[in-house]
Amino acid sequence: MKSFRYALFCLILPLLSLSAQDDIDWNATPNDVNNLLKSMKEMIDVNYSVQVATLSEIDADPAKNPILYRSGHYNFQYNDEQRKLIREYCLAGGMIIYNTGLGSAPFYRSAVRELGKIFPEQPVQRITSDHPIFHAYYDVDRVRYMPGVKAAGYVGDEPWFDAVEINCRVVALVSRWCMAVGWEDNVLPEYQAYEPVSAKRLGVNIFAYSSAMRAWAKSQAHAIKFVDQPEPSADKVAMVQVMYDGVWKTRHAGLSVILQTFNLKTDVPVKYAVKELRLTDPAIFNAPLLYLTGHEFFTLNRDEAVQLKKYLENGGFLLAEACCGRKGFDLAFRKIMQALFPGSPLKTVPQDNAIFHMPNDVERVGVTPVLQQALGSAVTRPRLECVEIDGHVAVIYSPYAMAGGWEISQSPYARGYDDVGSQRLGQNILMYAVTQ
Amino acid sequence: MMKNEVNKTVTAGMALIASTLCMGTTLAAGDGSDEPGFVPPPKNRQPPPAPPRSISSAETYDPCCCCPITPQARTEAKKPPQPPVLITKLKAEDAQPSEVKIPNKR
Repeated sequence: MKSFRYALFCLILPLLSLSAQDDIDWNATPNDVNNLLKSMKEMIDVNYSVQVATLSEIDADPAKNPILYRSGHYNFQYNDEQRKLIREYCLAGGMIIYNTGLGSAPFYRSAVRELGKIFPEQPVQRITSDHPIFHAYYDVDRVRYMPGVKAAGYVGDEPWFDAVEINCRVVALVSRWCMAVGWEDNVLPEYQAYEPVSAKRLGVNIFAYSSAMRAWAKSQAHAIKFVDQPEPSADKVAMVQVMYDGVWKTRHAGLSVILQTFNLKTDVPVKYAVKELRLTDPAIFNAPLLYLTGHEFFTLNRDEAVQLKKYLENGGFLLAEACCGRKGFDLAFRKIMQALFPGSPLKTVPQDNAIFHMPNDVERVGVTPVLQQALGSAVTRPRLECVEIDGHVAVIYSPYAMAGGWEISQSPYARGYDDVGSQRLGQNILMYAVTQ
Repeated sequence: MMKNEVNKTVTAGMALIASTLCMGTTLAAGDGSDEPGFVPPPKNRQPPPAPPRSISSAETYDPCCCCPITPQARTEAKKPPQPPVLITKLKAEDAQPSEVKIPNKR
């Protein structure tokens, strides 16, 4: 009888331990979000609560569950139905956050892999310190880590978030290092985690960012998309958007909209469908105009750089724009131009240039609230830079955002021109490109 | 004698199942615990907060077995207003095979 009881005990024990492990995976820090919300109440005087639910209990409408939070240490994977639900939820304005419990690499890799499957069109990319999420409430582009992070091989003081961004909005975020123990005020030196103050500030920023973006995302989800008119026409302006390694497509409707308004303004027949090509594709030589944009730092490989140089030297035209006025892209673009044309640096386009006067007279433009804060004025002279090759302007670069204004749907964190200013300036640039 | 034999067989069977489950747990079936960079959950796990008290101590006292169920007097609000939900903490779906650990790759 004794041996029978022992066997029964042996049978139950592993079942109990399996169940305990499941609980300890997603809930290893049971007080993390609770404590963060309490801190948020003290820090920024907002009062919110948390609920616990399984993914199958989640409503795809973000209004019912604005932010999803998943923490863990172990591998995981979703089924197709769950991936579809997360995608639908995120595109409707929701945001999902993955916290890597104590920096456990298997969980981190699982989260990145799953996001790659959920959003195959947009790569998961580490966001740089000028991203608005690090400045939404506190400036936390520098953080303090527990010594365990350094011991794990990461040396640096920038926060490490990987994100999926769609239409200038972070829809999913993976924190490489643990925030949860910091939120709990339960840290040990060996933990691969943020120190509590940094963790809480990051938490506040994530939730401030998410709240600000959600309302905007709702309207933005209905952005207009124009499609090609079926009738053929010989004289059309086709724009090619340049693909590169990184997030090269930040807005999905902006180009179509500006081409449409350009057409209305100037009667130039416009091909609405924008081609998307890599620079190594010989078809770029058929396009009179290339468009290059992005948020983050990026590089071109040798072949791409050679092809771009050849294209521009043969009379091609490149319009580049730092989407949302992001510094990462700005830095990368300047570096590329410097490497391609060391003798012809980017220079400011003078105000008397035709680009500011045809077809619209654009002496001054309105700016977005964030840029207004930086410039100290709601109106400014438009700023464009150019590269001249053999007497012709080959590159026009805008360090401030225009695409959000083209879509008439500015991101709350964009550093750019207002809707009217962006459209007028965009029309002028297109006119300049086709009449050169 | 016959009963003893049956008992032994059942015990052996259960021990076999138990050891299989134990092995499964130890090997962790591809949950990543054997992969580079794995960090186990913290050992100094703090207990979750106790639910807020919504009854007074007097109300827990049962004066007699036959009293009416409804308390005679209530002196405090039972449920404070709940602030809006901002965050939903996702828990693993144990009962469903949907969010599963990756099977052992070995």
